[in-house]
Amino acid sequence: MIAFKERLLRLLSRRDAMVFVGLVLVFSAWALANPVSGAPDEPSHVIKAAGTVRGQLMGEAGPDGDTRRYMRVPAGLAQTHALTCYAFDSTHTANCDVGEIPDDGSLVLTVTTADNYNPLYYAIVGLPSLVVDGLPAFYLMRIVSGMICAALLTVAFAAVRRTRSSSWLSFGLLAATTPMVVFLSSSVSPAPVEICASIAIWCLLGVTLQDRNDALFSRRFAAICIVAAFLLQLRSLSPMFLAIALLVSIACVPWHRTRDVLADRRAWPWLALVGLSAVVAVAWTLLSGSNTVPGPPGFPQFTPWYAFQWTVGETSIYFLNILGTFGWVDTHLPLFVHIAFVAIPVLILVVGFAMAKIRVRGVILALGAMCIMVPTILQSLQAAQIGPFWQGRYFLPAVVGLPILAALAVRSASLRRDGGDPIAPRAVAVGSVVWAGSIAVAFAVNLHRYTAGVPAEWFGQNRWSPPLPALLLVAVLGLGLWLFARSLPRTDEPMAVVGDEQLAVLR
Amino acid sequence: MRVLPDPRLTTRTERSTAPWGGRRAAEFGVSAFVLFTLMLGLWAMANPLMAGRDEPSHTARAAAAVRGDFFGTPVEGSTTARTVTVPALFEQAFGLTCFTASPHTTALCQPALTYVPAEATVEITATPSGPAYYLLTGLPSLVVDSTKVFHLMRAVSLMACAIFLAFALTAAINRARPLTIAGFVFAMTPTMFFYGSVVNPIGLGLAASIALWSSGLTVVDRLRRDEPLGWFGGGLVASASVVALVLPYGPLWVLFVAAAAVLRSRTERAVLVRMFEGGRRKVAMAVVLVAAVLGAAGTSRSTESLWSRDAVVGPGEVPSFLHFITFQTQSLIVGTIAKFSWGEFEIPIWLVIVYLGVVAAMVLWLFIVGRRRDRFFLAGLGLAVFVGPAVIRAAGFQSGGAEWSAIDYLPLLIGIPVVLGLALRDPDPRYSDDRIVFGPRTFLGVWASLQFVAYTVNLHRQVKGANGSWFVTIPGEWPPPVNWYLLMILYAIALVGFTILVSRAVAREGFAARASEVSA
Repeated sequence: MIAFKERLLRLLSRRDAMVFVGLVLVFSAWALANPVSGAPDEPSHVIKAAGTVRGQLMGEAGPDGDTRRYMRVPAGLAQTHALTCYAFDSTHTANCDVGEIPDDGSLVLTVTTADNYNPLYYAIVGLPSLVVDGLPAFYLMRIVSGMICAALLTVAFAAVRRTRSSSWLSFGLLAATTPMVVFLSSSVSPAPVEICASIAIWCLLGVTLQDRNDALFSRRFAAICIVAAFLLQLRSLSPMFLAIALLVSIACVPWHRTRDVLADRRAWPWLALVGLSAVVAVAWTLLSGSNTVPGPPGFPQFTPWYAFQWTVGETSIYFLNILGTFGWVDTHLPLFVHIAFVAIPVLILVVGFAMAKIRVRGVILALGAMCIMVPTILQSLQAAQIGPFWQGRYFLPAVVGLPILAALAVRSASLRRDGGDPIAPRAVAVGSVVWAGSIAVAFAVNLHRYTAGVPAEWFGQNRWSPPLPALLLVAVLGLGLWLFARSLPRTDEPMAVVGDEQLAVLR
Repeated sequence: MRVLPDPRLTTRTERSTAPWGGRRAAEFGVSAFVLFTLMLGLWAMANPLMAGRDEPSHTARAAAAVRGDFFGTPVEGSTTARTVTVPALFEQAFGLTCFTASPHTTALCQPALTYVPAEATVEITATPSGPAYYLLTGLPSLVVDSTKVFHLMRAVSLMACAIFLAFALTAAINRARPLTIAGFVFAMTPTMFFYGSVVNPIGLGLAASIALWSSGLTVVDRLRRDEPLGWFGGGLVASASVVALVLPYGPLWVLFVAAAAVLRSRTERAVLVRMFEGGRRKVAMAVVLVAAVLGAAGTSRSTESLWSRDAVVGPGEVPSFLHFITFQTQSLIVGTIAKFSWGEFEIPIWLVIVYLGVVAAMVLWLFIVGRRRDRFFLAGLGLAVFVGPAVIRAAGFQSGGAEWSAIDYLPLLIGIPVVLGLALRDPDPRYSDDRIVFGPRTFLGVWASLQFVAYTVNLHRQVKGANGSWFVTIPGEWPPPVNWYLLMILYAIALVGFTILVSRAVAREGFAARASEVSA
């Protein structure tokens, strides 16, 4: 037992645990403050999850020649489609009148658009539906999904804590964790898990390639490969995002660093794991057809050239979506919240760009161009088939790399100098206050939208209430934000590898 | 072996440690004036005649003012309309606004203007500005009687703006560091360039306001150090006078900027004493005072609707006020950065967020490395500038009356980045780290890129309509005086020239300031 505890403490410090708990509290508060089905396509994901844990890896054809795909899930969860009366209308509160929701555990056939998605994520988040039914199962599934996201972000912060000059990296991670990431992490969807896994990958790859810390190499590389193997199984575009993170990170450092890593025999078993995961992921995508668009073009007016121009014209919508557009793309943050939050990524990008070597500057610019051009090209090629479908959040797994790369550049410059960096810890302190403030205001705006509707006054008559009192949720959110912000890595020196003396104290 | 000093460095140090001013500053100012004139001129060519908000009314009032009718005749039953008698050409100008109702309509719908040797009485929207601006911009109408008069009125207006912008920039270079100039350039929003290029007193008012902030802070800095003011003092008096005479709340803004500059110095008494030392300074103060009185009188004569707001936010209206602040301030914020034409068209919101995000990042940087007093000062200034107008707007909103457009408080808002840049010049010594060097080109490059996007998007709206194809010629395109691709290239060249001019000056003067501090 003691050996296990020692090993756990070596992997996870108390501060890491506080980061995890803080994030879980934040995501859980948001998960409970959002009404059922309050995120894009959430009913389909919930049904897929409930079906997956009941052995249905794929859906089945619908009755009476219905071409949509169906899954057999508990009746209480099948009702979630009916609870979207407020979707796309921010003046409508979450007060949907659907009558009595059955919770007798009987299975019913219901439609889902996610039936052919990779089942790994759904097999985890669907577990609560085996224990409880109805709305409690729904909320528990959200919390489990949030815990996965929190764990992945904790991996990133834990890696940062074990590096020298960790503060700027913490700042970069704050910049990457936009209000949209926090909102999505409180919903049932593989998308936020993909984003959080990407954040961890960007951070771990950067630190591993920058540092020549032999003592930590095995652990870091194992973490990279485990997270990468998991990331590959999340969505059909996940391999592309992993490839982008890999290529961009390699491009930032001299080639011999990468060669040294690949030549290290300790890395090979882990690389094999990633390779195996990639094969499985690609095979699933090809066999399930989750990334193919069948049928004749439904939107012939969207020629590639027209769709290209149309997409460029929608840049603002994608940009806002990356920062924070909640609900069914119907709940917008006030402009001042966007501006306050954007100060964090802008600052790290400007500082990073000013301090980076020319090679890294070029890579940052190239990644920025890629974040604009790749979605534009993807939509241009597919819009004729399925119409303009793109949303800014789809490319978040690559976009989060920008502030992290910039932070790595600042850190690299800090490492080249003698003495400490007095600015960096203070930057994290100020940045975490702005970050937490932005998240808190975003939470309040989102809650107000569902309880009273956007046009209604603050503190007026509410027409919908979350399952727990709103004030309690606010308190939980506040506690989570405080714990998280307080535990961020913000020192010039790395956390010492836990030694016997510390273990004695911790025991 | 004796090591000889580098003659270039020695000369540079000796030359540069002298305070910024004199011939060096004059040469820089002339270059800046040329570039600002070019940029504003390109904006003027990118906008069809009468594309500025209420431009027909402003041109008609200008033509009337130079003919002795300073305020127009009130229209019975209306607090916002006046009539003026002007050459008939100015009556036709009201027919040129056919494209302003929809962002998808271009100015190709404008009818041709024909010169008619007659006079006409036209009804104009009462503008709450005194007659000073109109007396200047109306001058071309006395000597030109063809349709070119509208272009000439714009040219006079934009050159006056360019003078103040060049002066403001020259003052900002004083002891500048990269972040000082970054603050200054971000105070020059695309909105400012748009209004500076059309016939509208707001354009000159904004240019004079930024000159007021910049030179005011520079002059107070020199008063505090007991250094000679050079020609910054004269420029300050001119800027303050123009702000007071041209802007509706001008006298109030002059008072506000003066108070802010003096309070920021932290040596209020010494600065105030030195402000009134000597006969010339007393005369200068008197000039500003007279301008303020004339400005207030001119504004109150120009419109009856401006000063009749009496609603106040009561305790029972706090939830409404909070709601307003949360959800309704967007148009105010957007308007300060980039709202063109008659308001029918807005720039992409991402540009506004990135633009203000850079300013917010500088605020963040101040809260990281700045001195405590600077942090408090900026917080107080921000509170006054942001919350003050919002409270007034919300009060009017409640009573269904007052309309504070973003432009009304932009003269104050631009002070935030200017003060911010100055505060970042002298960070807290504990966090002063020369190894973190922000190249001025980084900020100037971002600013120039955003300016270019704003210019291009506005030009595209005017030429093609908001949804017109960027690359294919479409029916109904408005042909600007110069090919629109060429306009874009010229604007890009002007921005690059501006960036080089400013970054070189900052590098030189920053070196000078450091050398001066070291020698002190």
